Amino acid sequence: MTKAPLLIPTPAGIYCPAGDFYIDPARAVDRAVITHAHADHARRGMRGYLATRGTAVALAARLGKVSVQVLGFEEGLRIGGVTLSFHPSGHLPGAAQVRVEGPGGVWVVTGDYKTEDDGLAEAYAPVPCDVFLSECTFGLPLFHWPQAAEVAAEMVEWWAQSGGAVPVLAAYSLGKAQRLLHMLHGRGPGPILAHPVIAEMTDRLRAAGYPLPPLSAWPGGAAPKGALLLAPPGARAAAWGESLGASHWADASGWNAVLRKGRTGGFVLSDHADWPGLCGAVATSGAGAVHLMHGFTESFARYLSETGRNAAPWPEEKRGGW
Amino acid sequence: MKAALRLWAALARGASGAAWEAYFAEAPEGEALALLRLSLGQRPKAGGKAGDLRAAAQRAANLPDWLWTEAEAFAGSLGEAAALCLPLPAPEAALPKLSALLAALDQGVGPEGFWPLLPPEGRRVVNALWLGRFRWAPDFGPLLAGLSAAKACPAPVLAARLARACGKNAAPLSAALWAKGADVARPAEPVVPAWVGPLEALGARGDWVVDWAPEAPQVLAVHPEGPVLWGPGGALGAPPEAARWAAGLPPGSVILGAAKARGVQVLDLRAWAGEAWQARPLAERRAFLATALKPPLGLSPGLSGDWAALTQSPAPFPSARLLLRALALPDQAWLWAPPSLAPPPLTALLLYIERGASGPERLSFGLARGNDFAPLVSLPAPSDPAAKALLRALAAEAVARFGPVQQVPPRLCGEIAHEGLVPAPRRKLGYQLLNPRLLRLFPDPELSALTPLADLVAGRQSP
Repeated sequence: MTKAPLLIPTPAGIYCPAGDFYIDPARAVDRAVITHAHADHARRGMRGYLATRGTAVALAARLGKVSVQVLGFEEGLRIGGVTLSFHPSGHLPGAAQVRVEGPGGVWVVTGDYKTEDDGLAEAYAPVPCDVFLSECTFGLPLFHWPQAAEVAAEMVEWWAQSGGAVPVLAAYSLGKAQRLLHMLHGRGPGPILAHPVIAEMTDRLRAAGYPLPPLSAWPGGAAPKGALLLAPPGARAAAWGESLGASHWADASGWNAVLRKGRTGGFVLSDHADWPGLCGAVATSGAGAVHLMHGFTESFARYLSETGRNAAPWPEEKRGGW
Repeated sequence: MKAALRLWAALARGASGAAWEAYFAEAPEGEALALLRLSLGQRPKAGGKAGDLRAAAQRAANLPDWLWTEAEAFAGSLGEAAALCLPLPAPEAALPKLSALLAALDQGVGPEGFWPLLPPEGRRVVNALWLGRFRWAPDFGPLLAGLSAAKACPAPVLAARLARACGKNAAPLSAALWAKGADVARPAEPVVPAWVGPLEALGARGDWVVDWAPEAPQVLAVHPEGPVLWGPGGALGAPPEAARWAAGLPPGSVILGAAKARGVQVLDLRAWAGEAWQARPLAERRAFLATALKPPLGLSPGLSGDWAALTQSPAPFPSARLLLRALALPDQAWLWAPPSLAPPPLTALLLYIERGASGPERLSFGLARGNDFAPLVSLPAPSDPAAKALLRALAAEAVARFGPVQQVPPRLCGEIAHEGLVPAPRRKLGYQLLNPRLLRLFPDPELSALTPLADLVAGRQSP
């Protein structure tokens, strides 16, 4: 007799029938398990959220007053007929893989992840499983991330050579901004200041115990000489960005690895796994079946299939799977 | 090669003189000369076929054919895919020297041997060189400024020596490029002109001279090393006739002039025999030139009459492409002719917005041709907040998208100043504006507000 799958694709997202919960649901549901607090994974409108402590802190900042049950990493929680636990995904502080164990075996949903330890987020931990649902945002062999230390050195040089214009690093307010702060603190010719949204999120994460240095909010206007500003990408065209006067903007993204896709002058720094990271994560999972989400799912699934894995894209609503 | 890679990365991020200076201060002699060789366009002869490169890269990356094809399609080029698909070099791998890499390519050695040692940025360079697709034309102004600061050698001297390294019979580059010696006189450094405008205040008429040939080479410097010409934007060269023009000038002289068929029409004097003249009054400089110049150098005609008369009657000016040069202004900038001397601004319709990282970057305007609109000119987007807000709203309702270029509804007009119209058969409209600039944006969807192309052409043909 074939075992019923522990997780199934639905229009609302990844659903666990035996536990009656969704993982990173796209629509309002009663019980939402959240891998991390980025907007494409954590949405408003759920009756209840289950998340790690770090993600709960970010959810409170982003969604306001919502009902969040906190579950620590590696702790098991019995929900219906399954046992659920969170395991670090390394994507950003609090980001988790979701392990679900039940009659259908052990399934792991990675959420977004990176295999490199950035020293700030809880380091990615391989979780052995039977079925591995992996993201593959950068699932082409073009993507090989340089060492973060090298990128940090490039950023410091760029910062130091900025001349009269204030250097601004564009970064998501949750995750990338804190990683940059952690990488660059105390290494440049002046202080690091941030857009108020980033400063607030950083304060919350520091209060939750993450090793982040103090970060002053910069309200706008001409910044002090030698300062580096961190700002959300959207701030550049807003009044805040225009108030800075002469400024040099650069961003940090994995897409900058490909000249044609990246922004001129951007830095190659990603919070997702690169090609070797993805291949390694699939191998260390030991999974007999692999499903791919987000990104180059078809290509990566075909590559894994041709190299001996049972792999297929996971149906996703936005990709026309429903 | 590490310093070169850092320099290229810094230049891509908008750095200029400081990055060049840091490079030349750090790079060993041979490496600096190799980079200068590339900057002068002296690339190794392209050696390879694209198919061979792909096969080698695919083997090295151990990828199936279909996956390589997908990766290359996403990367946009074979060289880029071959730069990215290979594993990164081991941390302990020593970067090869740029000079060694160029020497190997000169001898027809393929890039495969360098791949395991190079990061993707370096592989991009070696692949592009091998495929004959390496394109790099740095701005010589910052390059010379950086080289001059790092090597303590005057920029004009460097410029003259670099000019000798250009062309078919170029002398090979060597460290003598920046050697100091008693034979090297240091003239006043010519300032590479920059375009600004439009001009709001003309100032005293005596501060101006007329440049009758604005498109000719603009600066002539004479050194013991030989003559060199500088053009707007820092273009550099030493045409054969420069030696004839410079024969009547003592070494260490810098004149500003316009090269013409029979000689040079000299506008002004910056240095004579190593002595700086630029601090002296314009009238004194030109008076000296009037006595010192010998054919084929001649002093340019002066500007007669007062401003009011000149602006009322454009008779002394041969065309709307006239330029004036404010030689007495401290920054030695070039300035456009005042609007009253230029053709009247035209009104064109905003057709496309090109988006950059921070919002609209360029605007394309067009004129009616038949029942359609044809693009006439592409201009930088204005930076004032009101215009940006308008453009953001327009960009949000774009009617068609082509990558970053978005077609927008015909709801905004631009008032565009220019210096004239010339035929341009390869353009859709058939004409090209000279030195266009956007004066203002305004909403006016009435077709009647647009400048008819026929009027524009007629204006061009009128005396």
